[in-house]
Amino acid sequence: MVSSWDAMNFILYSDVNDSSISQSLGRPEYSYYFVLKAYRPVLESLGRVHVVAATAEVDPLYRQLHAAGEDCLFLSFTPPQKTPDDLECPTICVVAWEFDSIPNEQRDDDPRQDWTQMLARQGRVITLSSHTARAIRRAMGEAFPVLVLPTPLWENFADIRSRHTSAPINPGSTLDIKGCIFDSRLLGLSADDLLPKPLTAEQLAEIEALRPPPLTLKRRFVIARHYLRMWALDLGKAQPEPVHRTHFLKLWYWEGVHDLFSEAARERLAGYLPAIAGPLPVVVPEPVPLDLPDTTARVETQVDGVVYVTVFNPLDGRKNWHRLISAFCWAFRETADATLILKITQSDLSSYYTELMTLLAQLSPFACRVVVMHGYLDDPQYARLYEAASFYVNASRCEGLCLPLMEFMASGKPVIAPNHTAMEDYIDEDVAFVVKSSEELTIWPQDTRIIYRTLRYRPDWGSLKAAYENSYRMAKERPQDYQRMSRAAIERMHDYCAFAPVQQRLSDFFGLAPQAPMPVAVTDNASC
Amino acid sequence: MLIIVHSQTNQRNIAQNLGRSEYSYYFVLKEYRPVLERLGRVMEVSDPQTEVDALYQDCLSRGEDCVFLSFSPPHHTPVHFSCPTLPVFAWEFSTIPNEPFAGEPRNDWRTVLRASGAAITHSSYTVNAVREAMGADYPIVAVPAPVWDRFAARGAQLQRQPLANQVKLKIKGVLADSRQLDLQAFGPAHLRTEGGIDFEAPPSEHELVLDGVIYTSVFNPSDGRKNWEDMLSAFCVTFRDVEDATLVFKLTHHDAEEALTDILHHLYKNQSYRCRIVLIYGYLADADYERLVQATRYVVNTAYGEGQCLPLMEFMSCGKPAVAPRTTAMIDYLDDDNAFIIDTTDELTAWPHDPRKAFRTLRYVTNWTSLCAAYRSSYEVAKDDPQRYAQMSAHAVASLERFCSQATAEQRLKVFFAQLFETSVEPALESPQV
Repeated sequence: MVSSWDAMNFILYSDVNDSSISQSLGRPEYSYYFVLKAYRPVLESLGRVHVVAATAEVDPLYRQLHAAGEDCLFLSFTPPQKTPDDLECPTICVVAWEFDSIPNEQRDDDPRQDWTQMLARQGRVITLSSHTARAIRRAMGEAFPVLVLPTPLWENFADIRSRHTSAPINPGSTLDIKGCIFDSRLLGLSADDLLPKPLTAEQLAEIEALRPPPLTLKRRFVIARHYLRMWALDLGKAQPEPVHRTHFLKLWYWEGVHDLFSEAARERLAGYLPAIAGPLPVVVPEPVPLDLPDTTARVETQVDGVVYVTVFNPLDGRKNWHRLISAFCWAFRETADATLILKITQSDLSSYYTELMTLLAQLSPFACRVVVMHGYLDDPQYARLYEAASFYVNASRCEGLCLPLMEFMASGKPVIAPNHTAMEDYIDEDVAFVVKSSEELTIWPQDTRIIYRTLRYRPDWGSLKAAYENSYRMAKERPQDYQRMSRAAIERMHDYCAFAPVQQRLSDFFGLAPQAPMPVAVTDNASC
Repeated sequence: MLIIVHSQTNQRNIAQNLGRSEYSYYFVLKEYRPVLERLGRVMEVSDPQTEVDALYQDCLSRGEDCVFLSFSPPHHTPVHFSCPTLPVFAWEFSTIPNEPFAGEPRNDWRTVLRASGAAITHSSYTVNAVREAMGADYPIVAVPAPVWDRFAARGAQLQRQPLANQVKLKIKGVLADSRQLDLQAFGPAHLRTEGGIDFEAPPSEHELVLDGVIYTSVFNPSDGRKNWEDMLSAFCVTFRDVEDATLVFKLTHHDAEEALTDILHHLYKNQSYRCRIVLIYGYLADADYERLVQATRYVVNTAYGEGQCLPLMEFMSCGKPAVAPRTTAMIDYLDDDNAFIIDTTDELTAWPHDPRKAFRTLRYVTNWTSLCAAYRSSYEVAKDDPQRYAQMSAHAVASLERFCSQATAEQRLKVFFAQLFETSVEPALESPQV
């Protein structure tokens, strides 16, 4: 029997909130914020929601509600090791995780690092994927109550679905963004530019002219007189950055006489008179500042043909974006009407600019087109990006959920993606060109011992390239198949992440929760 | 016929060059030499610039055929001699460099291959890559270094027993044994303990006792293609609870610390495991090398590509089945009956000597899951199926005989030279266009 939801209160907390999200773009906790936001309406349909700004607020609120006779549950949208373990309020962690095992070893004298202790105390857990649920059950036992709850987002794309039918070939559309756009067709990319240009005869002559004259006896005398005078008069005090007088003896030694001593003698001198004969400080040349474009204006570009889109943060090591791009450029190096749009979710352009531009230069020449969109898209701009896409691409090593992939599918876009980790819940041949992958070892991201403890995946580059080629062929030659796949993607997302089934799952889980002893309450995904 | 030979690394400088780029050309030359001696007079030169054309003029005046074999990649092969010059080169990528870069026209190998008019390499994979660029009738022959005879003879002497039984070898150099090291000494700086390896200490002699199922790999750790990380991690995962599985790395390099530091860190990182990992850095006398081969049940390779892979060929010639991917040169001698084949996927990469690192060619990346499976099934065969092991062993010897015996090499070179001199190896000015 489901308890009365009128009396249920959900207290929600995430490290990141509305006011700090802009500084958190791309940080690990960042996705928790989106999960909280996405769960919120479902929770609101089942009880009262209170979002707190600090975990210190949880217990006072709990006591107050408890005193009023109301049920209360704290949902912590933070990793277990960051969730307080001393609260009175019943607590459940919402775990976003993308590895095949959960941390089950205590480290640094912090029992919270061992998630199994945390979860055992809380007695149940919410996670985003069947893959994570399996990892948790492997550690906690098959009977441990795990709710797999994808974020409901299907309804958010009703508008797009009603006005737009996904087309395999984009006849031409305009995309705009507040930020900047890099277009491989306009960048003048060349692999040869990756090497420094050989110096011209004039430059060589200039360098020659800057070389100090040979150390003749006369020259040594001039150097000695100059520095000894500075030393004697202690002229260092008058310099813009005052220096001690021995500094001049050091300069005299290095410029005028040090070459007269043997290596061994120089070492002895450096030992006796470190202030004078010690090594000169190494001058590190200032790095040349990047010439980055303005990112404050609204800019636009046109795209057409077979358009692939991916959304990622280049600093997120899971995204495997070098291979995502290299497989595209190699598959379509002679195909002018294939375009890859990279929508970057990283606000600091300088953090990835050089790496991305180097990669594109290494790949050039190619006939296909790569468009990089850096900056902020408002809702109508984002809608135009969804509509412009023929396909969405994911080549990740692991995913806890992958919201953009789900969003594009809910907009009717067939995808290229592997079917590992969270994606196993919604990716198969009906909706995707499935990229094969192999396992590989990795560490738990928070483990400072950096010992291999878990698995992630290594997508096959060859299979990714084949997926590009096959999807392109389908777009050009078999539009009916494309439409079928597009409809299947919509259908899949409806079953997977529409409001009603998510709400049902959540209410079932909590309906059972207060009863003891706990029956097996593992909830699997209905689809896939 | 006079056959002039040269490699930049030679008997005098091999010790300093171990593990540096192109050092293995010297070993290839050494293996070719007895076969070349059956085909003509062989003369090794140390300074081709001054010696080759003089020797050639000599031959001309006597009416003797003469050819210069430069054991070097094409971009280091001289193209301006009067003497017919052929590069003998190793290559393991899907395409040969077909554009000039870094201001060196020879970096476009087609320029060199056009000028030389013919070339020698080690695998049919590379023959195909060259013909793709130069035309289907370009004269190039695959002659692997003929190592089979020497090792097959050794193999025949070795007792064929399913498991090594307390094989002892002496090593002069550094020996690192996962069972004896405190692996915490190779962890991240903030957790590191004392008790690592003192690389300053003079090389000392160690005795190593091997038993159980021994997997061996011989490689140069600074060669980025070898992918020893996967070899090691898949081993530790597969044999986490298997005490009698041992992986031996015999490392070829000129600097012990450089060779070992990274691998030792990975011994730490893959903890914990009951299997054993042994790193051998240093010289093994022939007898000890033979004992290592004797102790070995399987030879392992997880490289992204191989021009031929001498150690793999040597161990297999001795009757050791392999755990390896069937890519590049290994296509010519690996099959399901002499190896546990590891799956791979192709991946875009750069030609190794291109400083731009422009993506122009493919290499082959290990499927880690399938490497684990290959370890597992090979171990089961070693333990439980001596008959299958004996079959695989015998088939390894037979396959490698076909691939790299002196008879094979002699036959191929003889035909190749005959065709060359018939059509004359004068530099072809008009080369076949692609």
